[in-house]
Amino acid sequence: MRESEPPLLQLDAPPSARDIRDATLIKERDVFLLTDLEGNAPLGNTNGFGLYLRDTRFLSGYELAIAGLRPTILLSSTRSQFMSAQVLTNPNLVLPDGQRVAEQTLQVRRYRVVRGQEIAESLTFQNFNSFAVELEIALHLAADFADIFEVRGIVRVDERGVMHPPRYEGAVLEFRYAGRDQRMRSTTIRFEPEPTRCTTSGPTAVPTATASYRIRLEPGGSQRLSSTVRLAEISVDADAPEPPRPAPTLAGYKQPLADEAAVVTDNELFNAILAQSRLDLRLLLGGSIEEPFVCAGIPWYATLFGRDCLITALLDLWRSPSLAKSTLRLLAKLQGKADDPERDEEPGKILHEMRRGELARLGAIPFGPYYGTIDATLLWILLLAAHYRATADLALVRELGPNLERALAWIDAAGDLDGDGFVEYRCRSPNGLVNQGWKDSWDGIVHADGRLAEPPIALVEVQAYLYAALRGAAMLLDALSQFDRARTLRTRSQHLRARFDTAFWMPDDEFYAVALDRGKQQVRTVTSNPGHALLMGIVPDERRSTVAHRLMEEDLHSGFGVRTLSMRERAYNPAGYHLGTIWPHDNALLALGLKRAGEEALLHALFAGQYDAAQHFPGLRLPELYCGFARTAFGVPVRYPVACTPQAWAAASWSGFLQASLGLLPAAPMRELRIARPDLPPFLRWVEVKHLQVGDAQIDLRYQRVGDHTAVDVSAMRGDVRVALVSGWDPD
Amino acid sequence: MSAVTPGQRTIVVVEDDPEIRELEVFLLGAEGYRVVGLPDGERVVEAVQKNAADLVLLDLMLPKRSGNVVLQDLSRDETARNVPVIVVSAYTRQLSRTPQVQRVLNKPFDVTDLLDAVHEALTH
Repeated sequence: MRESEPPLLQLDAPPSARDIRDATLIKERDVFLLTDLEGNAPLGNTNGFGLYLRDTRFLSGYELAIAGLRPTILLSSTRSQFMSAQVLTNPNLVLPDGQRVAEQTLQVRRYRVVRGQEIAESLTFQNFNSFAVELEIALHLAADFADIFEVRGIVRVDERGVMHPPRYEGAVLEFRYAGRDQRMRSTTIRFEPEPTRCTTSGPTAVPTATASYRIRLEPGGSQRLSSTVRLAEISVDADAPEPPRPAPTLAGYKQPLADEAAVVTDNELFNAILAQSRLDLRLLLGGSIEEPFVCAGIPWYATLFGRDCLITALLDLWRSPSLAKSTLRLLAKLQGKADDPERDEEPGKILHEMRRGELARLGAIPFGPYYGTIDATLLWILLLAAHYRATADLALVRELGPNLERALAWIDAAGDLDGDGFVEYRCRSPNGLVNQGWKDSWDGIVHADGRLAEPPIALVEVQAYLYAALRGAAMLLDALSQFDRARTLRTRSQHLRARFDTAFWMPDDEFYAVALDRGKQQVRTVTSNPGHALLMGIVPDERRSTVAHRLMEEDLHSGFGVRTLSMRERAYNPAGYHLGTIWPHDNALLALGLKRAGEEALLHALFAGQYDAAQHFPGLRLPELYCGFARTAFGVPVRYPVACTPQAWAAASWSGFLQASLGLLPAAPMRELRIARPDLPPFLRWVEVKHLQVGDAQIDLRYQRVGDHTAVDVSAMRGDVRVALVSGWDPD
Repeated sequence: MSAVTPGQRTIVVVEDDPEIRELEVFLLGAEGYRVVGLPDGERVVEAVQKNAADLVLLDLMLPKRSGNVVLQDLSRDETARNVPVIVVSAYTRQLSRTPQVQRVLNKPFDVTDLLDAVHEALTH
C-alpha cells in the first residue's frame, strides 16, 4: 500500500495528515466518520478527521462545545462498528451570569449511528446538580469537500469548483459544493429541536456554521438534542436531483459473516482478537449489497484495491470462500481492456486501485481506475486456482475462463517486458506509482548502499507468484480438459524455478535478493519478500530451511514480527513505511511459507510474536503496520502514526496464521481435506473449527495439544468428503 | 420523535435505566421506527393502545410494575394481547413467559442482535 507518492507529486504536496492513532471510527458501506475520542472532528484538524463518502470529506469539522469549552471524555465505544457511544462530562464552568458549575456534575451522552448515506446523532444533557443550570451548547460544523488525496497530503489542489455559502432555513443547514467533475456534493443537517440560532460563514474555502442552543436543565433533569446528517452526490447535468433512496436496514448486519467457518479456542484473549478481526472484515465491506468488496483500509484506502482484496481473500479463503468468489468476479469485470499508459493499463491486467473522488474523476490523479500493480494479475490467477481447490466450483472457472485467458496473455505481452521469463514493472503513467509491488512507496525498493533501484524491476516475490500462478492455471486448464496447454504451463514453471534460483540467490548472504534492477543486477538488500517465495513453492527444497531461518534472525525478526527490511541495511528505518516496519499480512504469508518449509518451531515464534503484539493495540485490532523497533528495546510494539485501522489484510492475517498451524489444505475436487502436520502454538491448548466448507461438504474439527504433539479429531462431517493426514504442505 | 410516516411501525420501549432506554430509542428511531420510551411499567398498556404499538421491548426489573406483571397486564387487554414482546433483561431466568414473548435478549446485548430481533418480530 502506498504511503508516499513519486517525487513529482511530493514536491508540491500540502501538509500531510499527522496522527490518527487514537481515532474513533464508525462505518457502514461507503460512509465513515473518523473522529477523536470525544466524537469530535475539530475545526481545522490536520488528522484527517471528518465524515467521508466515496473519497470525499463531506464534513471536516463536527465539534461540540458546552459554554464554549470542550467536554471531558468518560467513555468512548464503537463496539457495534456502525454506532458509537460517548459519555462526556463538563470541566469547571463559570457561566455568563456568574454561576459556577463544578466539574463532572453535568453529563452528556452522545450516540451516533451510520446507516445508508446518513448519520443520526443524539445528544442528551443531564444535570446532576441540586440547582438548575442554563447552558450554551454549540455544534461547530465545517465542510471542505476535500478529496482524500488532498486530506492525506499527497496532492495539492490549486483550482477548485464552486463552494456555495452554507444555507440555513427551518432547522435545516446545507453545505454544497459544485465540483469541477460536474458533481454536486452536499451535506444536509437537520436539527431537532430547532437551534436557538445558527450562524454561517462563507463563501470561503471552507464554509463553517455554528448551531447554538440555549438549554435549561432542571435539577436532575435532562434534555435531548438530535440531528441527522445526510450526504448526497449527484450529477449537475441531471434535470432533477436523484430521488432519495430508502436507506438499507441495519438488521442483518452480521449476515455476511454467517456462512464462514467458525473458530473457537481455549484462549479467551485470542478469541477476542479473532472476533474483532471478523467484525473488521464486515466493517470494511463497501460497494453495493449485491456486489460487495472489502475496502483495503480506513481512512486512506476506503476503496477497492486489487492486491489488497486478493491477498485478504486468499488468506481468508478457508474461512470464507464466498468472499473470494465475489472478489474474483468484481476484479474480472474491471480487468484491463486497453493499452493506456496514463493509467498503466494493459489488456488483461487486474487493477490496482479504484478511486471515486473529484480528483480521480477529473483525471488529476490516474486512479479511477489505476492499473499500476505488477502482482494483482498473478494473485488473481492464484486466487482462482485456490478457490477451485477449496470449493471445486468448476462453474466459476468456466465463467471466468476468458478472464483467465486474458490474464495469462498479459503475462507474456506486458508482464514480461524483455522476454527473459521474469515479470517486471516500470511505471508509464506520469503520476503513477514508481514501485508496483506491495512495497509501493517511491523508496520501497533500495540497493544495499541506499540507492533507489531503477526500473524495470523484477521483484523476488512476484516471480514466486508467477510460478504459483502458472501451476494454478495448469490445474484449472486440466479441469477444463485443456491438457496440452496445462502441460506447457507446468514445463514453463519448472524452467522459471531453475532460472529464479540462479538469478536471485545471493551465495554470500545465503538468501534471495529482493529484486533484479534495470541492468539485471541483484538488488542485494535483505528483506521479508523472500518469505513469500517460500510459500509459493519456487524455493528449491534444499534452500527452504536456510531461507526460513534467515527470516527469523534478529535483524529481521523484531520479536513482534518480521520487518520489511533488515535493520543491518543502510536504508533501514524502524518507522519507514516499507523500510523497516512490520506488516501483519506480510507476516501471515511468511507464516504459511514457514509451514511449507516444515519449520513449525519458527512458525510458532512468529505467531506468538504477532499474538503478543495484538494485545497492545486498542480494541485488540492489528493495524496496517507498526514500527520495527526491537521487542527488547521497549517491550511493546510502537504504533505507526498514520497506519490504517482497521486494514483488511491485517484482519485476515489471523486466518493465515491459523491455517498454517492447523495445517488445512482443502482439495475439494478430490473430495478431500488434507491436514498437514497440525501443530498448535504454545498459547493455544485446543481449537475447534466448525462448518469448514470443502466443496459442498462441511467438516467440524477439534485440535488438542498434548505436550509437544497436536491431535486432531473430526467431530462431524456433512456431505461426501474425507479427511487425510499428510506430511507435506503442497497445494499441487 | 418525528411525525409518523405511512407504514411506519411503532415500538414501545419499557426500560428504567435511562442510558439503555435512550440507546434503544435512538437506535430504533435511526433505523426508521417510531419509538415511545417509558421509564417504568405503570402505563404500558395505555401506551400500547394510544400509539397502536406493533411491538414492545420490555425490561423485567422495573419500578412500580415489574416486567412479569406488565406481561400479565398486556395479556388481559384485548388490543394489547396480540402485540409481540421482546424481553430485554439481565435477569431473564425470572421471566414468567407468556405467548406474547417472541424473543428474549440478555443484557448486555449486542445492538445488531436487538435490530435483528426487532426486524424479525415485525416481519413475522
